[in-house]
Amino acid sequence: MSSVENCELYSDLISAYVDGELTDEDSARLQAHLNQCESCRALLSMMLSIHDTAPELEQEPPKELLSRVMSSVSAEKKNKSGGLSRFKFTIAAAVVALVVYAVGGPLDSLFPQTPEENANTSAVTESAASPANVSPSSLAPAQSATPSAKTADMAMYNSRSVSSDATAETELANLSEIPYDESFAFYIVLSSQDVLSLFNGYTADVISNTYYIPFDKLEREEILAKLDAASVNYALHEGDSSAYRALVIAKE
Amino acid sequence: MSKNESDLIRRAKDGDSSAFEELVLTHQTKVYNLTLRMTGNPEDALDLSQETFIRVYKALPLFKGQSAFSTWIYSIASNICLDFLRKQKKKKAVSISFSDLSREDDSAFELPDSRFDPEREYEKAELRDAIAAGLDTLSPEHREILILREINGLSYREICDALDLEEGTVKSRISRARLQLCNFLGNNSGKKASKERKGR
Repeated sequence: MSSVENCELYSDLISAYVDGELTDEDSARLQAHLNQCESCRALLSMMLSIHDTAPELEQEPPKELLSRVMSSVSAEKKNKSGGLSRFKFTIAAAVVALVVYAVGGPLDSLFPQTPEENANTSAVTESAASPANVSPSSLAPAQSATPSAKTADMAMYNSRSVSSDATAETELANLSEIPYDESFAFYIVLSSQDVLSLFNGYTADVISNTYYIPFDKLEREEILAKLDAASVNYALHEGDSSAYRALVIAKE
Repeated sequence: MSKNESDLIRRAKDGDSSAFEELVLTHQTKVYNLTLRMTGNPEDALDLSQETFIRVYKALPLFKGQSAFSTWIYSIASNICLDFLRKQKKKKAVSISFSDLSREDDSAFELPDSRFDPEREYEKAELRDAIAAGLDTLSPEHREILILREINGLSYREICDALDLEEGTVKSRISRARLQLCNFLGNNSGKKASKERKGR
């Protein structure tokens, strides 16, 4: 029998053989090893049994899956043409919190502002908080008038995480701690509203000055390349989620 | 991607709900089985499958056909499952590492008992159940890759695209996952035999 070290090398070949992904040369090597190794012959037999049996684990999805998906799609269509969805509202709440945070917290040090700019940012904060001024303008008053539990969570987050001696980098890292159901793969904080035109062409939900962007991994690079090419001052923060979502926050 | 599927995608992008419904019908079984085996719970699987298709719908305009539509959907489903498990793990506050992929490289290599023959030790249905139970014991990354390969039948290339991994990583991860599953089946068979002896 071969040594265990030797067998470790062959387990990858056995697995690849089971999948029909072995080159002729490797097949010959494996065959020679199997002729003298009982353990690896047994391993091959087990892996083949699993390979043959596992497809039987496949189950039919419940019938309600399709109906649930299609009613959600229909609701999504209505939301796009009309009111603001609960999810969008959640993001709007996050924007309020983040913009407030950016105004009062060390994120400011990333984008030094003039007093005039500060006044603009405050206006954005207010407009996001006020249902009458939120864009898209169709936000239903009933939705916005009731503060959500998440909004309360945000307020708590703001009050505890803004500390005067922390570095901007540390505070930016704290963004990942936002108590938020739908966390993001990354956040981009932009220094100016103007650059949002760079995101034309992406399908994104636009709420006030925040873009929620579903993207694939290639597009992440595309987005950053666009920002670099336009010499935009931005801060990138890795989020907590591995899902393909980004949140772009612009500061006016 | 078939011409028919490209056509359905184009129509769904233009807002045709019936075209999107066709796409869901085509892919729902694979998505559901991935979420079912990842969560081990039909209710969670239903929720995560639904979430997958909603996200597919929202992101549809961004699909440019650089990969197969099916692998694009799997990549979204996979991310949703891993996010879900990460949140579950946070809830349970388990102290062990959730995704300790470093173990892939430095774990002690152990071959299953060579006297173990699954087809001799298990009835067909038992083997199926044992494989399902064994999958639950694997790390999420190992479980996910075996589900895609063994249950959903994806090729190495398709798995590379769905999980954004190099082919070498896919090969070795599948091999490690299988080895762990074999060890589980071997150990489980030993326990089963012992129970049977005690029952006599």
